[in-house]
Amino acid sequence: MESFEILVVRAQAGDKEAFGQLYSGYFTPIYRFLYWRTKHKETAEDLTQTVFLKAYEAMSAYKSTGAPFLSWLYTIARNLYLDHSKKKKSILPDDPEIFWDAMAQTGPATDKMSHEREDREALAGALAELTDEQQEIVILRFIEERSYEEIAEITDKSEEALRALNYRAMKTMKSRLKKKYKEEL
Amino acid sequence: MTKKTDNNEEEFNKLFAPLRGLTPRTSLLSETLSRLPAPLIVTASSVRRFSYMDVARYSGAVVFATLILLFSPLLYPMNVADEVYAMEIEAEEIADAVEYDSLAVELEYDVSDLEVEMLQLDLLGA
Repeated sequence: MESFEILVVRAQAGDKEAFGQLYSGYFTPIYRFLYWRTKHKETAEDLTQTVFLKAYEAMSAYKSTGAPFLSWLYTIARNLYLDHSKKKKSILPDDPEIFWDAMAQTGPATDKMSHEREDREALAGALAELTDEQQEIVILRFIEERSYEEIAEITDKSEEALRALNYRAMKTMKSRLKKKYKEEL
Repeated sequence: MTKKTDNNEEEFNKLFAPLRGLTPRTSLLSETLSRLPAPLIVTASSVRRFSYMDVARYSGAVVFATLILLFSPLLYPMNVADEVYAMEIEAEEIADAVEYDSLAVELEYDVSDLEVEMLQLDLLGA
């Protein structure tokens, strides 16, 4: 695989193959971020495609400033989600069956798997009860595993503010999950 | 509090691990790539922008061409006095040629018919 810089230059010149190579590594995190933000498979797919189409159009303007390339994509994804949520507030999340079927599962269903699914449902439920800002920080911090520095770049907020926001989010989630996870937390 | 927060973060990291297993359907990437527009022929780097240097070059070329035309001798027809003078010189040359028995050659000179006839008459008279 060619170096990141060469791929960027080729993609900037309109090379689709280079664009494909460049984005194949970033496709899943962007999709996952949008999936957990929307909790709707089709919407997440549409938004993910739009992120990459927009990124492709903006490639010539992209300049490597030292900031992570993924952060740039997250920023596009975040702005698209915010626009989308303003326009379509009434969108309903996926049915739990569809929602959890999207998760990779192999082998026959067992009791253990059933418990795990219940745990995930409880976790997703607690996440959904947070404020929009809190959901964003929790998704970026714990699902996408981004550093505070990166999240600050993506959300244009200070690291201190993000730490405080995350602390409150964790506190809220913890109290809601306390019953179920009291032996773990 | 920081240590407690860090501990909390570690716990939450573990807690959220199962939610990281989510992946898009495999065809989504290829579908996205197929939707990409054709490579842009005009890219930002190739777009020519207004340049003072270009304007200066163009203006310079126009001024130079104008000066060439203004000072071109082709633009100014010879005045009457010059024409008469030229005719006199030619007549002298022809007369000299006659003197040296080379009239036939000299008559090939590009002078007006009238002049040639006049010279011939003069010569015959002589």
